[in-house]
Amino acid sequence: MSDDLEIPRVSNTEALVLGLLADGTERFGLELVDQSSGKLKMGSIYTTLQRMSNKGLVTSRTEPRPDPEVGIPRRYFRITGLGVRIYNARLTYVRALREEFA
Amino acid sequence: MMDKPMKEKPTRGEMVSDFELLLAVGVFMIGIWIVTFILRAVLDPSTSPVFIAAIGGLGGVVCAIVGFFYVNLLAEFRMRRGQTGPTYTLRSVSMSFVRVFRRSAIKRPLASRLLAIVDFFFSPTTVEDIFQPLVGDLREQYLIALRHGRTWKARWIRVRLYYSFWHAVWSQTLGPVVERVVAAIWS
Repeated sequence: MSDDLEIPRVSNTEALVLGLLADGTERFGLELVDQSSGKLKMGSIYTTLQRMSNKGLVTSRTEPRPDPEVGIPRRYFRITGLGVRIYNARLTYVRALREEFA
Repeated sequence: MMDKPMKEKPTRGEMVSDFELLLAVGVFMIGIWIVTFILRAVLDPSTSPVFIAAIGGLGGVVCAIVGFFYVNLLAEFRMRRGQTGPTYTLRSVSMSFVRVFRRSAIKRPLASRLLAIVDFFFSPTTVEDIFQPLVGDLREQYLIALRHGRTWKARWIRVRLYYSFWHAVWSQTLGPVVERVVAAIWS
């Protein structure tokens, strides 16, 4: 049975990132790693975020450093509308599964 | 106001022993160099003189460096015992050179060489999206730790940066392929 509706697949790590960004605030990679209490790794967080960005689940912007500071500009990530819907759908699905197998 | 206690003048015996020691070290180093040079020339006459001279010169440089550190170390022990003398003077002069070199050394930012490497091998998008933010975040943490004088935390952040960096490189290159192959074999 073919399905024309293409829904991006979301891995467990991506779902975790979506959960951390679900309140709508902007966060950067290290912040997400710190808030995940060890579930996310610094070496893979930006790879995951890039993949999610390609899927349209998150959007990013680069913020330059304040005036006296120099260095690499920080990249902030925010959840998109599609990301919110996919996260909610996944949450509903997981809850339904839990009820089914409880 | 109390007068500072006067430093005792080193005795002639101490000064002589320092000179003797320095002389012995110097002669020993030069001796090794000369013996090596002559042995190379005598045992293997067909060897090019330029090559022998190069080897001899290199040996001399190595001896000089070893001698320099040896004298510094020796003087350190003597200074701890409160001794003075020519060794102390020599060490002061040599350490002032070291300090000048250290002061004038321009340090590169943390992981800048790694960024240059990935900049060569990966696309600009990958570098901007993955490697630069990763290095930027941890470099900032590193500088914050240094600013607060937490050296060990800074060292740990540096280790974390290198590990995360190479993990990211792995996940951008062979990682997914290896995972897929292993998954295929496992299934």
